[in-house]
Amino acid sequence: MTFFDGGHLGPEALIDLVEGCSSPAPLAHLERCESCRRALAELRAVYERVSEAPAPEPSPLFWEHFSARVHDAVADVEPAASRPWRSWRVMVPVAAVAGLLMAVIFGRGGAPAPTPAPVQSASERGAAQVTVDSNQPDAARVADDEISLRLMEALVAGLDHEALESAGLGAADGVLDGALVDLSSEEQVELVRLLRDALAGTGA
Amino acid sequence: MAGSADPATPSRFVDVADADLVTACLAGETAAFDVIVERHRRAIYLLCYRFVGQHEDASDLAQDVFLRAYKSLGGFRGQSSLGTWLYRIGVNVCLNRVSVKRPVHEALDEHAVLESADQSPAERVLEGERAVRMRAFVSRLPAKQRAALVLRIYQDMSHQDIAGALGISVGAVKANVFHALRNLKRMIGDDVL
Repeated sequence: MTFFDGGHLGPEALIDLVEGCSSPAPLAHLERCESCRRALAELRAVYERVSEAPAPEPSPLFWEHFSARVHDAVADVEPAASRPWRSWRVMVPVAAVAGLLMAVIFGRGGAPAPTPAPVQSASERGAAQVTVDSNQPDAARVADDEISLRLMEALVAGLDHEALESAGLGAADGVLDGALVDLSSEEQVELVRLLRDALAGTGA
Repeated sequence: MAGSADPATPSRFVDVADADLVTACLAGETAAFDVIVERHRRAIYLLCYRFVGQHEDASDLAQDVFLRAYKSLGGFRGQSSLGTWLYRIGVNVCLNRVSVKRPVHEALDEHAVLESADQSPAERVLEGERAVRMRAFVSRLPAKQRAALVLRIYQDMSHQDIAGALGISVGAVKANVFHALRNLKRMIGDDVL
């Protein structure tokens, strides 16, 4: 530690002296330096005055209300550890893996197969609305999908596993396994279905 | 740190250690968190109050601290006490708040201060005014200086613990306390000596 600053006691040494814990060197300096003694006296006076300022004590009724408010606030919230697969440390790597998978799939398979547009009845959209033919892909939406997929590919291509790890975004060993285990049975079935559909679409 | 027991507090958790309460919370025992709140609410509220110098904001901030703590209970590793962990969350919540909102200063008669039996009414009024004035001065300090000062003087945390909570070195903690005191000296004026 540097005790002196421009020939006088520095902030750290002065705070140590104010709090009553100091090494011999600053004490020896203090013996012969009027300026530092004055600075120390001023700091001590302010320190004591700040220390003596009490905080108001809330009423017992306030505490009851406070506890009730916190209780209500957390009532609909789950602690993070009970659903680790939703935390960002898990979701970022999962998203990266999903992105990589999509990039591989669509990179090999070219443009994605057109998705049928939803059929909407006249009663749903009003008499003046035209019913959309589910066999005719919406060209604008396909174009949007392609742009999105190109963007996804570009983003995934830029991902560097080591860089993610060093940035604290990597998943620790077993985290992804844990995330999969934590999926509900319905979520696992849906994941398997999606993977099968994707692989079937590429002929893999 | 612990307050008086609430009638609604489930008795089975009253004597349970903090770390075991966390485990119980994570196992779905939400009532265990009520006990955590009861034990630490006063310290967290006072921490927030010292930061913002105003009851309503301090109350909201303290609630936010507990809500954030509940959401991230899985991140509590037990390497420090639960109280210290809550303090860290509290400091972060307060620092985030004070960086976006100017403190609102309390009215002189907003709260009664702790009274001493051997004080005359006039002395109590004078002390109350001094305390309000000092809290207003503290609430005007830059965030890091305020944090270091509040944690050191009012929460009695070690320099090392403050450094950990603020993410700065021990030397920087002392420097912040030093500059906080110097700024307070300027605000107070010559009547301090």
